[in-house]
Amino acid sequence: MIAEGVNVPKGIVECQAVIVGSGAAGAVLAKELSEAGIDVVLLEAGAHHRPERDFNQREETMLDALFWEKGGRMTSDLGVTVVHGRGVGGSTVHNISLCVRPEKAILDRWAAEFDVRGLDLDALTPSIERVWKHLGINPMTEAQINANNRKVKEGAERLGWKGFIPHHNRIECLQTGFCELGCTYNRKQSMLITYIPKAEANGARIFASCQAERVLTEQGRAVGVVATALDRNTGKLLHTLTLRAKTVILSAGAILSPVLLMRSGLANSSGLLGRTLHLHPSSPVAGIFDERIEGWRGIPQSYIVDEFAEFYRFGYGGYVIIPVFAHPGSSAVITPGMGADHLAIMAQYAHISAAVPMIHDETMGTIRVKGKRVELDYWPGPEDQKWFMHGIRKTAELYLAAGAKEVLLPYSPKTVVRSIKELDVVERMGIRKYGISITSVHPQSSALMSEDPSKGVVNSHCETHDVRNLFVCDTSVFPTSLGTPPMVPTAALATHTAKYLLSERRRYFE
Amino acid sequence: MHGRIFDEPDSLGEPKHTRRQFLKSSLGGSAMLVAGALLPTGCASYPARSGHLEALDAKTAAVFDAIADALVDDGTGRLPVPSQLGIAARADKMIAGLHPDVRKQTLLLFNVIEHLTLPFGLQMRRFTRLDRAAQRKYLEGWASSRLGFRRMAFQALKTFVYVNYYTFPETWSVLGYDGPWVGRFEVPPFEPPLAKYTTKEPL
Repeated sequence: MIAEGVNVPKGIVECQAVIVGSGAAGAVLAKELSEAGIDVVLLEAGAHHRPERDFNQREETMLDALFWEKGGRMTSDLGVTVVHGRGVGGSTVHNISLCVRPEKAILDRWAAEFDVRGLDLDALTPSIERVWKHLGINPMTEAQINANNRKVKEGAERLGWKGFIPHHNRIECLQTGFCELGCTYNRKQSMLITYIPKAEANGARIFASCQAERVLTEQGRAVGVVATALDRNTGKLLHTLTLRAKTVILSAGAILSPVLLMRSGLANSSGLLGRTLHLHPSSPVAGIFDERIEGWRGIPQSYIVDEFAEFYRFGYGGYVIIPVFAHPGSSAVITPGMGADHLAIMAQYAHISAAVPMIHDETMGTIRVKGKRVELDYWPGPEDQKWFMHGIRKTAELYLAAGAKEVLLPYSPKTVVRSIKELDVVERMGIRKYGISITSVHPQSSALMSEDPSKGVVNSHCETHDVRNLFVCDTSVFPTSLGTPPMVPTAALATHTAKYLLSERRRYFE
Repeated sequence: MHGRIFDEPDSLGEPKHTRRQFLKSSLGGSAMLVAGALLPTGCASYPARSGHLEALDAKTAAVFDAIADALVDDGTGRLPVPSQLGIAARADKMIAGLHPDVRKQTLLLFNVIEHLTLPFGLQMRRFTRLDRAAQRKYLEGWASSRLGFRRMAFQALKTFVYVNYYTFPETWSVLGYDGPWVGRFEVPPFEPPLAKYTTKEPL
């Protein structure tokens, strides 16, 4: 049953597990637990959409429908844009379907530095395989590489850099290129059309446009959640309800799971809650070509350059280069300049190929709650700044190798290079606030996992150290940045956590 | 790859200057917004709007229109004029959806832009009464200011203008962009196959 708005029950709702958030983790937990006979209620603050009816491929509609703050959430100083999804299915509805397994070196680092136990690659692999099947993940083919990605591939190959064609969770893709605004045609196998219908079929109750406000505890144990039902269109409060549950699981993402804990005054004996935020940040570099690229057509991300992914070996450092393309409104915001300068670039929109170095960051940002407002603070630290400059330079080199007539760097004022020798400008420009465009689409690490309660918020099973039967299961708990797109690792972690919960059924559900 | 690309890090985490810069920006921004709150807010001299606006009033809508027209104008007339497309109404929806504190600050910012032309632009007339060239020069001053809060404010203005402006189909031909499939191509319904795929394999 999926209820929304006035149809969400009022008063007290009893269940065995209440899950907050319906994205890559929450949807998986709802399906796996309900399949084992657990009475689950899944809360989602955003709306429940029907793709073929609601996804109109228009930015002015879809940014509001699928993203928090219309995709414009920013750090409090407006230095970094932080994109995260809302609506049933969470960020899996707007992501670009990249399916990447977690790196062994990263998981090994979690064990060595954070005393995370039982989450090495061998232990996680059965859960990854299960997610792989349920999301219909399959390899992309050469024929599915669009012109934008093709330029990145050609540049990397000419330079002898490593790269690969990734797997995606899309089936019979029509290659319309509107993935980031939601797939109208049900080809992207997001949680919305895979795990959520299964959870529903298993008897899970899904309350959409229903926002969790506070976690309830009694004698050091989580016992439920207070929530508000909202009007789908206006966001206005309709009524409140109380979910009484044996176990509470927060899967609202790396921004909002810690916010809910902060608002509840829970799980912060370590003092680390919301103070270790990684953003996996990126900065766009654009090659401008004589020929038309039409980057908005085709599958937006079908090639990844991992030549500089030091984290593959060391568990930290480096970046991957990933092609990106945004539709006109979003592109215009990050295009430098104004007036004629701005238009000169926008007029070449059809000739642009764009890619980002996506940095495996060590910088720790903070999340704060001020009344109802959420404030984020983050600016890359010195080591990450070095990687940013390295990544911008290398992405520019890649485009020059691919034959770009000029390369637009992510700086304001507008900065264009036409040869490698001009790339010293990268060091001169540095990484200065309001002088460079930085975006995050993978916030993580805001409620760390560690067996040591002084080093983390949750243990290796995702249960908070401070409150029994209260779990955080999403990208919040990753002790470090993953360095790669997080959907599969997050869904695998949720599968792994569901397995643990069911192995302790009596403790958590009776 | 053999060795590390860089040596071991000098230091990790937040750079030392960030907090100071942030405080400077915040304090400057706060002072600016206090000034904005003290400035005149009446709408009498601004043209009334025909449609319903939720967040903007006649004055802030007029200021926003003027900012949008000045930011977009490239001097050639190739692009449609934002105010004539109705950009204020589209931005109004966006601003109305902001958190109330942020919405209030945004409206104060429009007031600041309108009235602080003397200290920030050495202009004797308010922003909406300046000619286009003077408006552009004034906004460029915000974009390139040494003061972080002014650059931050400019970034916010730019976001409100451009993210809305280029969603109008009238702007797309200049880009060579042909727009969404929806409404142009019929695509037969597609039943998501995995919704029916059930593995009841135990975990």
